Amino acid sequence: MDYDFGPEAHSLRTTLRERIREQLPADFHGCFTEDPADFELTQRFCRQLARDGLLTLAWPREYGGRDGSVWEQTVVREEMWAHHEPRGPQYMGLNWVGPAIMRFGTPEQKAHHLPLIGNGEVVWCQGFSEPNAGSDLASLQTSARLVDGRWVVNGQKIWTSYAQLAQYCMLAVRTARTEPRRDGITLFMLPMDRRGIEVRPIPSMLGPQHLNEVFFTDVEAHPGEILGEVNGGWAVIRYILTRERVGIARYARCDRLLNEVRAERRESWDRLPGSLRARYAKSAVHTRVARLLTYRVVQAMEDGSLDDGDAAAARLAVTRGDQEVTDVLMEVLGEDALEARESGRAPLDGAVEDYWRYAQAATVASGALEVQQQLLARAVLGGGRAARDS
Amino acid sequence: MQLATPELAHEAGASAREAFRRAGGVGLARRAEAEPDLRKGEVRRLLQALGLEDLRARDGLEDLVAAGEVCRAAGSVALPYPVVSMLAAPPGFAALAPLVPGGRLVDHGDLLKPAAAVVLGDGHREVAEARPARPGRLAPFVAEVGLGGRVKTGTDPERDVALWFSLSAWWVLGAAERALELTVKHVNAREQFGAPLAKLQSVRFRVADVAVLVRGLAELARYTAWRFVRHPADAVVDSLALRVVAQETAQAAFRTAHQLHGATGFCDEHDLSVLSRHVQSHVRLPLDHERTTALLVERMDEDGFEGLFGRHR
Repeated sequence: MDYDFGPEAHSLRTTLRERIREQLPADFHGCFTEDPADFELTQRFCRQLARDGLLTLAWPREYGGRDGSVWEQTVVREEMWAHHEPRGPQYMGLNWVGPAIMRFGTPEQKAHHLPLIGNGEVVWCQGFSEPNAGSDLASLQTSARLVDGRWVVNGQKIWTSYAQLAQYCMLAVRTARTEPRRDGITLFMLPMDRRGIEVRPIPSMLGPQHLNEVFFTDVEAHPGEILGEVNGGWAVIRYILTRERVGIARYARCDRLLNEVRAERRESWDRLPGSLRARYAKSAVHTRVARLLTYRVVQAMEDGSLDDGDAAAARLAVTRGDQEVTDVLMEVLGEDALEARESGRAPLDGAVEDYWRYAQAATVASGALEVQQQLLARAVLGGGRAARDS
Repeated sequence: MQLATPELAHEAGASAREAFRRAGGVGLARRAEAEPDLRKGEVRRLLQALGLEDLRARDGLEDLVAAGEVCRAAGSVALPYPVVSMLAAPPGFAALAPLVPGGRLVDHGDLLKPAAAVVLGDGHREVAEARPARPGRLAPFVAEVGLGGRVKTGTDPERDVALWFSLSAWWVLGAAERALELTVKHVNAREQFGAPLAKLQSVRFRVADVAVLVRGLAELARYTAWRFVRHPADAVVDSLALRVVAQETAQAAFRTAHQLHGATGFCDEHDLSVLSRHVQSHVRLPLDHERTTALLVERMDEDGFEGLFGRHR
């Protein structure tokens, strides 16, 4: 039993922190801001990581990666998220689009897409959620019909992050009316500049780029753009969602912000209410627990013994932890927490306010908290489907 | 990184669980309430047969985790014996009794001699006298101790406190896990409105939330053991953090267990009632949740608390 990451992972962590320090300004808060220069920064950062051989560290060597160990991959996830994800939206291509193509793609699809992702040149978005298919994804209605050897897509997606920035969409559509509904779903990899695709941004408290609507009107899709089998999309979706569950190391941002806020408020710390200092202490401990539960999932994935319960437990702890920590830190900062970043007076350049807003979605995005509770309950109690249907 | 429990520890826990089960499980605690001397006879022999005297909890990770697993097994049946105090005892002593300054109650404090008290912030003291307190419904084996002069144990008192807190958290883990198991069994078996309680979403969500806490406590207990060996300077603050999580977990696990068991769970013939009462000594002595948290805040201010980006201080 050893919780040491080992020398290679330690060295990687040091390297990543150096790269971040060298290439990003100290007040970088991610690329989803009103300033387009922030997005450009992340694009440059990705290309530089690719040149250094670090962008696809997790990927197998045969696809241009370095066969990074699961613990090296964990270090990358932690460092990137802790530093406001300097890969911008490209983390999705690296974390789950690329691996899904490796697993389910044709040789032609691999040859086309993997180098683009691996070189840090392409942004993907995920076209899964619909107005009437959120947590219940299998009820999606966007359809594709086969007409003269080509597919024609019609429908609407919603909550699609990064859709304005993306060159490609991993799109889930209904290609058959089946029971169970999940057996009639197919995944397409569509270029976002295809005629008939319209993106409408949704202004939100999360900030720019996070939420969009995407409309598909008689959009042509080619058989060669299908990932996996026709009507076999659910297997790909399950694979993607499993990878998403450990995809974001939210606890790492919490850990870093807890430290930074404490340092920033060093002079006034003793004047905080005792109850708030107690909440701060507990949130630091809960962050440690969330990290350990995530490590258990990583180990289980490595051993091939991952069950839905482990993944759901980790995700529940991590997402609730996000909200607990940001609530505590907002209170530590008091009225200063509401200062706009642009005012120049916001503590830590508004990092806490920014993350508090984002953390509100932690228990909704990528599978709502209640879905995770249900998955865990099924693992602990059994009888999930019957219980859900009741 | 390797998260698997050491084989020795795994075996120690499995052997202890099996031995306690064969001896009657929670029934031992039930009998000992009526006949306290059972602790000195049947229960002591049971532990001797497990060979626990060979475990050196303070001497290495394997033994420490093995000691933790034994405490976890004992907690799962509310074993009527001070296993934590025994396994945390300094060399030459039969038990370690943790106290706050001015404190006087020690679980099973009358049972093992000689015992060294460790008073938080005030070093080791001799336990000069101990007599059973008037038995209450909660923590029925608590004894009132009187302290003598300072004693030399050859051990660091702060590290002793940390060891006791850590092993006690393993005990609480065992109790909370058992409360969850009993709850799972009950809600699957008990039918109301024509269906098992386990079909109700509100019930499923409550159980899931307790499962997160229990799994989290198990992970933190292992990690804290590793840090006890690898980062000894942080032993106190780490063990306080573990104790806080153990207390939170116990509170949630037993509250949920009682709520979902209904009146059945309050009856002493049901294991839940016995476990719920007996775990109180570990949750409240020598420091309850509020006081443990206050001490954690204090120690975090002084020592910091290790995270991914250095110390929260």
